[in-house]
Amino acid sequence: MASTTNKSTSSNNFSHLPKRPLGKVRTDNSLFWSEEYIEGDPIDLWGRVIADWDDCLKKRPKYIKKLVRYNIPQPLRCLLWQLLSGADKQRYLIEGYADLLKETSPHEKTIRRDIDRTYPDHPKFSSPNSPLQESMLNIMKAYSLYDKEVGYCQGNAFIAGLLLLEMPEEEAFAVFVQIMRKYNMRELCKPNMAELAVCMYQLECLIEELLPDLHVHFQAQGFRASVYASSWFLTLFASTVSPDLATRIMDFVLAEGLEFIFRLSLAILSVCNKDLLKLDIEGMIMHFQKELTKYDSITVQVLFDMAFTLKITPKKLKKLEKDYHTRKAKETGDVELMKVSLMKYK
Amino acid sequence: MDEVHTTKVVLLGRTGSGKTSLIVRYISSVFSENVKPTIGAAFSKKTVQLIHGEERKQVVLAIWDTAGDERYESMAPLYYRNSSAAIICFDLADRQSYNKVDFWVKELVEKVEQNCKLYICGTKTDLLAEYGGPLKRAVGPTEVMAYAKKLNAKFVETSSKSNYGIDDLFKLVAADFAGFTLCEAPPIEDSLRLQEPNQTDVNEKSSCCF
Repeated sequence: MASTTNKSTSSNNFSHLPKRPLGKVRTDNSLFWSEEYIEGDPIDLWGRVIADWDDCLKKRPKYIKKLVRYNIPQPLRCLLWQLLSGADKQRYLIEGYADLLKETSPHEKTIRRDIDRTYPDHPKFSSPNSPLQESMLNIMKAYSLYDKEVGYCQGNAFIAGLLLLEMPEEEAFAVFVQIMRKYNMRELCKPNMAELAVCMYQLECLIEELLPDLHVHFQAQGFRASVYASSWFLTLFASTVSPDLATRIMDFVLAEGLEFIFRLSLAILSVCNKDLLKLDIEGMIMHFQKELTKYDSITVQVLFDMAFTLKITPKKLKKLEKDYHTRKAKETGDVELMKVSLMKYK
Repeated sequence: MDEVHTTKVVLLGRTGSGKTSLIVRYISSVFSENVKPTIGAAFSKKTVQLIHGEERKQVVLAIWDTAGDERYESMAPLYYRNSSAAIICFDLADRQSYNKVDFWVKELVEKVEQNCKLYICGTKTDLLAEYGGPLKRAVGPTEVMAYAKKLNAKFVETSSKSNYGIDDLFKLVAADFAGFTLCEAPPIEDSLRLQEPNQTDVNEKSSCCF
């Protein structure tokens, strides 16, 4: 099923990081670190899991998450992304792909205009008529036909491109569809982007709780999460960080869901907290534009370590989502009330 | 010490109308065929030095770049709020792109950004047949000029590729903000000379008269 012929020839910059026996280091956090001790050749460890994937996924999901954090060897990434996203179970997507491409999409012109400028600095994408560009166009077109409600959302091509660095076009399409559906991304990408607003609210609340000083500063400056963090969520960081780092982020998103994007966002803010406190809105935006593109492997390790220890749980996110809708309903209610009283006044 | 003023400038316009390229050309003096689509917003700044006789002013342009995809429109108020200038861009060879201009004008007027001066910027002149390019103008200059006049907006044409009109546009924005009136646009030879990129100094000098 999976072929690795198309995988990136450049070795992943972050794969050389020390493979630490994570289980030993952290025994405190039962949610993430309670599974058995992990050490040894990741290819062997993954080999055993892959051989018995369905059973492992059912019985030892925490162990799988832990293995992802430990390491994903580059040759296994193509297969593991399909397994983790569940795309391997959606054969019909791959089988129906060619038929989708025969149709015409109303978004084709817009997609075409963006394809040249997705990863403009990446040698595999930047050359005109590069096969990967054509594949990226095809995936975006097929998806806009497959999911007409979402159609084409600017930024999605960055995700598709990242998948194409690891796997053939049809498989990349299936994983892309899974990212949109299973990981809730399609809700963020719908034309009104209502769900993105929810994520931004959740992020702002988490900042308030975990980085209260920064929250006060952001409030004073009127610096809203949607200004700096929209692209973090909509492209899963792929438009802001190096492709190597984006690849590792994709590993975690596929294993842990969008929750990881919240974790990483908070970790990034936490690492540059002191710098941000000294800056105004413009300075902060420029800080993000500059810093995120040049993280070295040490900073990345610090960020990931921090991301995984932050107290962010699905339960907490769910509660914040509920809060958002309650507030929203109240606001709309207030507007309705105001309308009613204005009518009376007339 | 010159007087220093900071002013917020926002670029709006349909996706692919060349907003980011315009800014990159102005700030970094380079042109790249493909710049990443802007998701959310981006920011950069540059100082313009204005000289009129004895009077000297420095204007820091705080330039906000925005996303063109219609999905991001609901976020736009975050970026154009309190702008003193809005440059609304459209691709001179793309009618749809021009049609979007009116949307942004209405949006700014509706949200009562009264102090926001409007600049309508036709981009990519290098692609037009009259400049030796492959494409036809999608909208005639008289039509745009009449529209701009009605709005009390200024109309300029630029090419980020050939570096045409870019510096003049931002100079105009800075001068309008500082209450200077620029001389008539210099002939093209002059403006090309003016636009030679300065390696070490991002400041640029501009002469003005009332």
